[in-house]
Amino acid sequence: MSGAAAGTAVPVILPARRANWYRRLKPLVLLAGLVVLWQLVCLLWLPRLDRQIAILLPSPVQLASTAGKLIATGELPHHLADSLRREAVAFALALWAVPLGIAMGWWRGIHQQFYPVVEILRPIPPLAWIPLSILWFGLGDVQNEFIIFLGMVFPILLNTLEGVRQVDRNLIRAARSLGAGEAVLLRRVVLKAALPQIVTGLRVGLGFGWMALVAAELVGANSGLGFLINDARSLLRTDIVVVGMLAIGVAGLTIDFALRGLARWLLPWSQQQGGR
Amino acid sequence: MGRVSLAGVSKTYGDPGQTVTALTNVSFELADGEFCAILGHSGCGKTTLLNMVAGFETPSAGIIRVEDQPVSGPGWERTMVFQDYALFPWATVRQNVAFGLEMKKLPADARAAIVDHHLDLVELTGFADRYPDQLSGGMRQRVAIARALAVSPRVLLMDEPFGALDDQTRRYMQEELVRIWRREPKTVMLVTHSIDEAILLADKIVVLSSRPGRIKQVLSVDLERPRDEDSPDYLALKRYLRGLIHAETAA
Ligand SMILES: Nc1ncnc2c1ncn2[C@@H]1O[C@H](COP(=O)(O)OP(=O)(O)O)[C@@H](O)[C@H]1O
Ligand SMILES: [Mg+2]
Repeated sequence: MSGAAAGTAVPVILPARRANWYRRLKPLVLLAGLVVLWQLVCLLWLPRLDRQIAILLPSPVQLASTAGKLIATGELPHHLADSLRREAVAFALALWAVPLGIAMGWWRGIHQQFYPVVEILRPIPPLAWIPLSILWFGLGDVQNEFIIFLGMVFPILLNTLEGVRQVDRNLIRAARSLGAGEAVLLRRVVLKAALPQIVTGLRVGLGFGWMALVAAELVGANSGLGFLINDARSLLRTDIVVVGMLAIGVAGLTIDFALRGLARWLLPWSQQQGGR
Repeated sequence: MGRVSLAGVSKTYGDPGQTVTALTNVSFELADGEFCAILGHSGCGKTTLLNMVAGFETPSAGIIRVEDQPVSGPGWERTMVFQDYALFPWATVRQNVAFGLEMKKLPADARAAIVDHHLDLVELTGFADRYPDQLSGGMRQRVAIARALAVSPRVLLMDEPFGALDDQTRRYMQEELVRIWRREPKTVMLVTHSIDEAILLADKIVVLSSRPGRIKQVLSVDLERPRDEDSPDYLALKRYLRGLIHAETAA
């Protein structure tokens, strides 16, 4: 609580405001220190070591200037937009895993037929599909989206399936005795009860998809953040490579934040107990 | 309205060769509006009995009738108050109570009136927009009762409804249940393993013995309400029931 401020010589009369920004910034101390250290290494130590090596690690200041230029020329936004579009298209397709997961969790016969198929496909990493998918779809959007889709679909499917199977049996009984038919039961009880787990699946799926996206773009695209960093590598533009990497990280984080917001909106009751 | 009859009802779980007989040859009848307690040790088949009346399980033998209609599945005329409440956590108190009325396709205004009435009945009017997680155990129990009663069932089934509550709340809820039941008479089947709860609440007590569950005795409680726990009749009945149940433990 106020313990953060207590150790310092802050006068007691200073209002909570100071303690507040102090508390917020405190976790960033190590990070800031590392960035400064990085800058110093690039500025003082690396050039003395070897001029060539210095190129391999751009400094933070240099990165900031490169990022500024890439944004100003529209190059970075262009690649980011392409990546996000592919992620979104693949996500829209992978959402079909939700109804399939519900059906598998609910009807034994469907589970029986689909589960072996899922179990054979699931252990194949999406990246292992890249060579074949390039032959199938060529370079570009469709191939990328296919790989991203493969990264997303299993976490979504399996979490949905698990969520449905774990629905409290008495909730279903209660609904049935209150007069709910099969369709109402699925839509208003099973889906709702499984929703926290489904949302978890969507979050994990989007994360996996984003990882698969970068890999797919590294080898099979003419645009996108993965393409950007691989292209810059061949030109030895390490500053662009690192800016691209940071952009990939920030975008991934933003997607996850957005989904957490969605979860809060979809699951208002779940927050009461700490939420997921 | 809510006559119940069980004739030769048995239930065996499991596949042939690996079976558990939960209940054998259970027969008794309840008049309309009668309050019945099912008393017995844990594992003697009380929940099984209730689940069959609710239509969640099918008897292996025998037949259960409500108003001469054989029970063939779950339906609003037999609603259950579950031991763990089984409230919909995503729905507010109001939405929980309204669920069965929506299933009955009642128009919104009629629905609201019935929900309000039942929230008033269980004294939760001020909590209509809370989620179940925001309520105490006793309050959740009352929501479950309101939800079960709102559809006007013929029979109200309660599976150890007050088992999870602390002593004081349980006392209070038992009185509340009697108050509600007298305001809206209804056939009630309440499962309990508490002798006191059975005598305090019921007109008729069905005592079950274990392994396999069968009827040991069915007795009427002819004590006037509200029941006085210190009256000689109450104590005599309690002693008698304790003897019945105790003999069971010794055997
Ligand atoms: N679904 C089930 N499958 C197999 N055995 C069951 C099932 N439900 C209950 N039983 C068995 O039936 C017996 C009675 O259980 P139950 O009706 O839950 O008793 P009570 O509610 O009186 O504690 C127990 O031996 C229990 O193990
Ligand atoms: Mg039980």
